[in-house]
Amino acid sequence: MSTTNHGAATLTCPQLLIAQKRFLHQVPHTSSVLDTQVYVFAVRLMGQLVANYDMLQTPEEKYIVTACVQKATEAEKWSEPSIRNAVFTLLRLMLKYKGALDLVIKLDAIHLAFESLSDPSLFVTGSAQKLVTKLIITSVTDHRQSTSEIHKSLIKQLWVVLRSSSDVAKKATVLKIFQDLFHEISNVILEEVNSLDFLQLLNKMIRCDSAVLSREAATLCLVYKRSNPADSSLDLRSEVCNLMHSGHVHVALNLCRQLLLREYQHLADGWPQDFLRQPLIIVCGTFINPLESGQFAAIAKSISKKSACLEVTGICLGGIEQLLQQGKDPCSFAALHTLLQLTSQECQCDVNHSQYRKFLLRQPKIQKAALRCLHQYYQLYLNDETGIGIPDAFVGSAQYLVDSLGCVDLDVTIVSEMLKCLLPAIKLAICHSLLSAEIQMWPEVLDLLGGTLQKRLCDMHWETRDSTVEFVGKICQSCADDTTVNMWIRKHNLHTLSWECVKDGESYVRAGALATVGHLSRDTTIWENMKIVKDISQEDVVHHILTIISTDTEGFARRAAIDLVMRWHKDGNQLQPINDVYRTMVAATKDFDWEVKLGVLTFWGNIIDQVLSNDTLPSYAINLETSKKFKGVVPEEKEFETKVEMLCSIGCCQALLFSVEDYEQSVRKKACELLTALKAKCLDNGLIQANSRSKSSDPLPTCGEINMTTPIFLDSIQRLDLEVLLTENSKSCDSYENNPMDLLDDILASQRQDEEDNAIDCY
Amino acid sequence: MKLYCLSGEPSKPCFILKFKTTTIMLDSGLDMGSLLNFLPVPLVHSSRLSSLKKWKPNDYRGSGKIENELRACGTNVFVDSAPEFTLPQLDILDLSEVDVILLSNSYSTLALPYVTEYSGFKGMIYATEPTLQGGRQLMEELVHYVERMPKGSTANVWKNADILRCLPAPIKDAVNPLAWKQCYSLHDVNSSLAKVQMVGFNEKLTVFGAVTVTASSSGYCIGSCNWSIQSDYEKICYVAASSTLTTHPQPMEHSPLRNSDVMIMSQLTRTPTVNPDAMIGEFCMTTALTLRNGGNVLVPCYPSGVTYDLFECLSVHMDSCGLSQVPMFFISPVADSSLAYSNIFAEWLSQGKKSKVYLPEAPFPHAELVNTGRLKHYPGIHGPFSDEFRSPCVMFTGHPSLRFGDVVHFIELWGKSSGNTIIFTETDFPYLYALAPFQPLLMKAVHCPIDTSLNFGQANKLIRDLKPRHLVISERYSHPPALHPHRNDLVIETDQKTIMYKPGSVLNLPIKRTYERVEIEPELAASLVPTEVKPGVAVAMVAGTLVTKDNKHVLKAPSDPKSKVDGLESGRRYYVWGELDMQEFVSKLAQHGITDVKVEDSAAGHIVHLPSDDTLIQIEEGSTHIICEGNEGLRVRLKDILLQCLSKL
Repeated sequence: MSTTNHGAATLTCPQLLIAQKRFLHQVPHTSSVLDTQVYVFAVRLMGQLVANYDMLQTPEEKYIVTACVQKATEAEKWSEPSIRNAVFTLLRLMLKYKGALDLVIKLDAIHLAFESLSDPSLFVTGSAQKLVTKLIITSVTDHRQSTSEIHKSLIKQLWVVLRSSSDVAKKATVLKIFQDLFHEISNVILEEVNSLDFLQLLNKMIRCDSAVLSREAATLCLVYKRSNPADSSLDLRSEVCNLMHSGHVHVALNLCRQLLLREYQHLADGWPQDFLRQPLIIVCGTFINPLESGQFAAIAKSISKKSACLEVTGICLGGIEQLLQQGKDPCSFAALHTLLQLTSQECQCDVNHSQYRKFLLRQPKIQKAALRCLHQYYQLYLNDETGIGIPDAFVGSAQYLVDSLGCVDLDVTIVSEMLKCLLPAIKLAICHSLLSAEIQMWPEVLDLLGGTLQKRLCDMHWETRDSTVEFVGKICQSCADDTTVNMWIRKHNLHTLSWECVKDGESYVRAGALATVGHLSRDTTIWENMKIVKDISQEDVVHHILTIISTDTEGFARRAAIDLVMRWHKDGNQLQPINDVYRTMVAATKDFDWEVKLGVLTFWGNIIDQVLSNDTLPSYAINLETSKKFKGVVPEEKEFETKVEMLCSIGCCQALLFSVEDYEQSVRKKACELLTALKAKCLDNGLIQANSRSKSSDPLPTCGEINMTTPIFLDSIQRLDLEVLLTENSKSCDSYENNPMDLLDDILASQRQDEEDNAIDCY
Repeated sequence: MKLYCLSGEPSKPCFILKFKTTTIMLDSGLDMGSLLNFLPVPLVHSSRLSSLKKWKPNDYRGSGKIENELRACGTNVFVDSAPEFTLPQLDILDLSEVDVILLSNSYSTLALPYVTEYSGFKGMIYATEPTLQGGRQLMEELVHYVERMPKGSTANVWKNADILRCLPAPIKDAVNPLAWKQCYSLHDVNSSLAKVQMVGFNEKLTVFGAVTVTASSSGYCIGSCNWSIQSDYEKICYVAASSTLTTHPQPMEHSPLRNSDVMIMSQLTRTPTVNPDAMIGEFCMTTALTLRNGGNVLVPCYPSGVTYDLFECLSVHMDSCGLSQVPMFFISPVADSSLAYSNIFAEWLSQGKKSKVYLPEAPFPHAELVNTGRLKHYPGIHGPFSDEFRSPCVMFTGHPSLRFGDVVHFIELWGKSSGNTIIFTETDFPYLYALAPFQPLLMKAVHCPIDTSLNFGQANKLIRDLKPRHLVISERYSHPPALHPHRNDLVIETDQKTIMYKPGSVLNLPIKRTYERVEIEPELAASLVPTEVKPGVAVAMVAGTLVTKDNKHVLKAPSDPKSKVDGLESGRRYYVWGELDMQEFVSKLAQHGITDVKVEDSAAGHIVHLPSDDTLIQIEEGSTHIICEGNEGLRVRLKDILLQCLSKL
């Protein structure tokens, strides 16, 4: 099905319909012998036709749908989740047609959907939920007498499920349906349901043991409150307090988190924030702005056990992170710092006395959540334009990060989070001129960090080496302009060690190191120093990168090396010997990794752009490094033909022609795009004529076989129907998924061949 | 039962156990801490060391010539003499009385020549084959290092108590230096090890028939074991260096150590605050960092044990860091045999390594590293090594004390460059004091102690699992280490009755011997007529001669059958037993003419009333009373009738 018959593209719509009908007509009749997946495909195809083409509206087509759905609901097929999912989706999509509600009722789909509200498959549950929601909404908007009362009965059924069902999953799904309905038709729901009863029921569910049910009920409370802000019967603050007193601190805090989401901001008045950060304050023993004693005691009691303490602290940290992402300061920096110390084995300070230390010590989830918050804090301070300055505990927190980063048995994911935090911390320090020893401790922190990074660049775990080398690259990228950081990188040999990582045994590290080398090379001081320390020349460096492109076993590393070459090429770095670079890139056209090949083509695209656009550069550009670089390659006054000749001589044209026939579609597409652009320029400059095709029947030259000359290249691009190739190569599996018409083209094409008695004997 | 604790250092144990009629020595560890008080012995002349200032106490007025004995380096004072070792307190008892020596691992064998040679020792020595070979390698290396550059003189004046107290720390804290001994000779090593009998795991060995000793894997190093010493009714376990971590040796066996009367535990980790895994990581990381910066790495090590793991982990890490081309050198007089032996001891290795043999592959990757030339081993720095040597490199060499061996040469060579690193992995010596005579040193020193033996948490868990009735441990394990006084978790905490020992202690172990097994000769056994006294229990009278030979007790039939019969008959005594059948008793009474019998049941048994004779018989379980108003004839008749109704033995 992935192939396309180009002749079919010209077929008319009636022919398509015939093919479609033939295909779909056969489905109900042959359902017993059809493979389940084919049947699923047929139902999904109908859904796509409805969604994209508004088809299946005629009585005859409705008959096909009815027959297909009826067959699908037979026990054997219905047991397959993908069938159930496809049918519910099709019916939901069909509800956009007038009268489709009758069809759904006729098929008894309401009953089936209600049954599937707690389906073992989450996908089926989701599609059933959406179908029921859509049914109610459609019924409300459909004013016909026969169907106008359906929504009332459906809401009643949902209400019955909520009140009396023992199926928790089903109740949770019904709560989700109510959430959607409140968004769309809150008035209708409130007409059908007594709001007081409704809220009482929700309160009951919030207090139940099921976390899912209580979460959904709490969310529904919020939705309700948003829909009915005037309803004084629901005081969210009281609700939260009640939840805490009844031992549901985690639900209460989750409710606070929901309230802090943007859409509920106007309801919040700041109290959810106070509630949310309270666990952090308690575990850290810093009694700032305590809540009323009742709530404080409730939270303290709830976290007296390890699992509850971890859960509640996790929710609290998630909420703080959320607030920080919204640009709000929850005033918890010091507490966060203390919490991080509590989680750290190495910390020997006062936090040892916290009774919660035994719960929180070395808990990776809490550590990571706290580090994410710290990262957000640093970002907040970094982006702060109000000049509030950095907190007192800043250096202490950075010191903690650096100290902890040096621990030998740290989890790799924690190391990664710590490094993520340290990046904005260093930027922050630079912004606030801490590096110039304004704060006495900071240079020591940096020194310690330098030593630790050295070790981490040689860590046992490749993940750590990778994140560290990436960190060095980012530091260099964003802070190398700062003299102190620049000196710090050189003092601690972070540049030379990063270069050594290019030879790492793990491909991800090599790839990361190559990206870092790209950043390092942008700073002349660092780069030149690296070469001096390692006693290597630029040619040696280029040669090593080219060796990676040619011989590295892993695609990641080769891609990264090509990216580096492109970056150097773009930045005007000395890519010497350039002929070796071209030769390697031509060879890389045959790489096994399609992304490498795409990278190579991008490189050639840049070369073409620079070579061909050189004459269009403004006069002042002559002094730019990039234009200087090409002085040796492209003489200023050469004609367009000479430029094409040059492209041929360096192997660019050869590589493009080779890639047009690559086995990877994306590579072919990219090559076609480049060649199309080049061909257009050749046409503009009169090197080839429009509508003149070479009669030569020789095969197209392939990469490496011949020394490509300009005439051969021009002849080749004239012979290639690049437009057709580009159209062909632009199609993907996704396009078939989203646009079944092409697929129908294929089906139709095969039908037509039968009609024309043109079948070829496959034997 | 007595336990003599001869060693002052729990990690270098030496015990003597007197149990039943046997005297068993458990391990023979050599404390080499004393070496650190001596000046290093360089392989080639070191002008720096030879120009160190001579030192003598300011207020010394003694007659002994101390000038040439002590030299100062920085704030430390070192003895310029042939190195000496601290022996176990072997003079506590006569070593000729020792019947058997049980060796647990190769590191606990180093004092063996001092024990077995020139001491009158004539017992047996039991050890596994890897322990024997490993011990031999360690001893040979030690002797080679010491004898290679012999010191002309021996310093003894400084040991005088008057001088010793004037010396600066830490040398002034030396314990009884007068007892220190110089190193044994290769002849002593060979002679001592020739007495070793090799044993396998779980092989039962009888010591004079009195006890059975069995070795079981302890998981610490190749062939390392724990011992269980068992009589018929008592069991003593000796838990030496053990490891529950998964490294190259066969894993530790727990079941042979369970439910002992006494468990003696020694050789717990000396670095309880660090995790060996983390330290291996640190070691590899530091090595890679140094190499990437163009420096050399020096690893003072023993020729076996953790060194194999270091080869394995480091080579993998160097591969992953793109440092495969950097050579690793292993220099030791026994390097060749160490590498070779480790790969032929497959049966003593972990399952993973053992299974490699069937592929077939060498169990340790160092065989492959040697084949590919990445690991090069040499007996010394002279000869072919100098042709192959290139820098940067990783150098594994001994001795970890840094007082002799090739390591001294490399510290002198590389110590002046901050690009080089020395990494300490062995835990026998405090690394700062080991480095003291080489100061000032620019070379980086990194401490990555790797001790895989049990930490306190693991030991406590093991004790809970093994449930010994009594536990014997060093008193050092009862309080936190000096460097971590607040770490109350770094102690042995157990509900078991614990007995602490100090160096030189003699402990009376609380084992009360109650039973002894006796065998009955088959002929005598055949003559017995057992009577079943209750279901499953039969008893019989037996008379015979108890013969004790080789701590085995055998009950034999008396040699003279006549005297046997006479003896039996003359001294014959019947034992009655069983429950009185009242009907039978009444009928017997009737047979003897006593017909007027009334039987009543009482709470405790029966009361038989003979109205015509005015007699009452109270029959209760365990007692019978005949109340017959002084009619002795009737009493005897009644007694005889009653006894007839009971079973007899």
